[in-house]
Amino acid sequence: MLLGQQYYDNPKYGKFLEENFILYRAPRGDKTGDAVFKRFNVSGTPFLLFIDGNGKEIDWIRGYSAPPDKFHEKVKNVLQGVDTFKVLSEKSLENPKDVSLLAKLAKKYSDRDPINTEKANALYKQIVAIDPDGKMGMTEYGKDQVSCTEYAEFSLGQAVLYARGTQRSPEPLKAFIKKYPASKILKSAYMSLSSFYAYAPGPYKEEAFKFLEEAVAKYPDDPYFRLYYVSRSMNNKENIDRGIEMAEGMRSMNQASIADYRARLYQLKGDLSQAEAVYSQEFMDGQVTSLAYALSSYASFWMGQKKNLDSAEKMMQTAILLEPDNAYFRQSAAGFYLQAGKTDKALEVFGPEFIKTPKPNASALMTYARFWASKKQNMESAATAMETALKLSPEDAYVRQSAAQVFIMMEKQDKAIEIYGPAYIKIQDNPLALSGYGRFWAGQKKNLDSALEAAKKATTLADQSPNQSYLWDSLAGVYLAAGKLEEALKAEEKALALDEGFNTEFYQTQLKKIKDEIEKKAKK
Amino acid sequence: MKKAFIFGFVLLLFAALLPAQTWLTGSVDDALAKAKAQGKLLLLDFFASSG
Repeated sequence: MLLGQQYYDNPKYGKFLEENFILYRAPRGDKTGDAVFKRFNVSGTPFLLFIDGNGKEIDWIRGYSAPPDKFHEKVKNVLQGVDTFKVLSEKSLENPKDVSLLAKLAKKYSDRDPINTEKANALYKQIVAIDPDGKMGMTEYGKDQVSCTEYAEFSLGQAVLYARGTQRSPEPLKAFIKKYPASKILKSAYMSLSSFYAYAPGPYKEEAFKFLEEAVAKYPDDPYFRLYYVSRSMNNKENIDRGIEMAEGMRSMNQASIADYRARLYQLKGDLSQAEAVYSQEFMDGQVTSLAYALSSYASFWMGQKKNLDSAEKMMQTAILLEPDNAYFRQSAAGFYLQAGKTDKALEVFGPEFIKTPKPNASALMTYARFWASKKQNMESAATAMETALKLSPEDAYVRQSAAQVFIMMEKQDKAIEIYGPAYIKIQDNPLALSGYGRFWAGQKKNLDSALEAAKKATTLADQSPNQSYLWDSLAGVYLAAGKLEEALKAEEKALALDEGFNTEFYQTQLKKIKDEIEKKAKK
Repeated sequence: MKKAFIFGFVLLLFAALLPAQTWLTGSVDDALAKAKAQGKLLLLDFFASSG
């Protein structure tokens, strides 16, 4: 939106764009637009992709930030071939040991697809192998320059921290902190790890509190580190006094008043485009969502206490007025009314009318279906919502898995199998999707033959995949659920052998679990 | 004189209301063919109305 207002609609740049490019617009939510998003594998917006007449990707720009003149420089650079993806790829073939070049290319790859970072990671690993001491080149990090190796190790650590399933581990980023105590990236590493530890599952509990204390001590003036501690404390319902102390120290964190000061200062400076960027529609949308979230949390809290209920209900209604199309708030309100024994009201805010919106979105429909299926009420409408979500995203593994979950909750196993059963794995060749299928049915302790077939197929499809150990661990889990203990043992041993050191402890625990089962069975 | 002024003003107003550029929608392949024929790069703008 801001990109349109400040850049495209600005006559200063319009002529340049018209003269130098063929301009094509792909809006999300529109049938043709969505097909173009899919064809070019684009997820987040805004995103600009530059393609030559032969369909070859030349470069891209992700996101927009003011001032528009600075953004215009980026577009001009693409036209002039300055550090574009095409130029960097060609140069890196000529100079395969130039670490600065490799770092720029790796950043391009992760900018293109921030979720699947395999191509970027391969380059980062190359940089570390070429220059283990970090002396052969520097790269930009914000306004600073850091060694390419340091940046590569940080990026690889981040990739493992945000990896899926058991590939996920905080260890490489912790090792980064130890190795580079004076790094200009240090605070970002602490921030990423703090966000991980705030919500990481049970086994991380002890080290989480220890790490979050360390982060707050290191950055006592930054309220975000305190916020992570408070979240952890609330999740575990532990170290409550210390959590309160941390929360008291966060009072200065009022984003709205900070934004007001910033916008006014930019206005005084005469830089209205920066003021607009600070006080943008997006900013206000965020404020509205935050307020709705605060009101709905308030209402849920008092409903839990069965006190202050009139005020709680008013606040819940206000949250919905603020965010009428948001499934999350409608679901919270429906839950609130069900707890109050007011089913009619629940159906009024989150009933069949909700799924009749002109442009339903798959995620909202899934939220609706899961909610009502879990309550064992309004089932017919929940089933309709799920069917519509499937029609909207028929190839999405997550939607199919959710649908199966919903139909199992409705005790319609045949329907679940029809959607997410043996026929599905025949058309699926993504190892992670197959492995997810295996894990899902193993968790249900149903459809286990097919689950095994999928988990096995996943391991054969991923010879070179960095997820290999994860896939073998999944297979072990399915064998375990099927009672095939010897096979489970072998698969888990394979996962352990393929592990690159990030999940050793987890796989060892799984292995012990399997061995215990074998022993138990032998005793019988 | 007054008429000419009003006409000029209307023209200016019209120009201000015109979109700054022409954006193609529809077939990407047609847009690619156009880019190839004119020796230009194709700029694809992926956007969501809320962002």
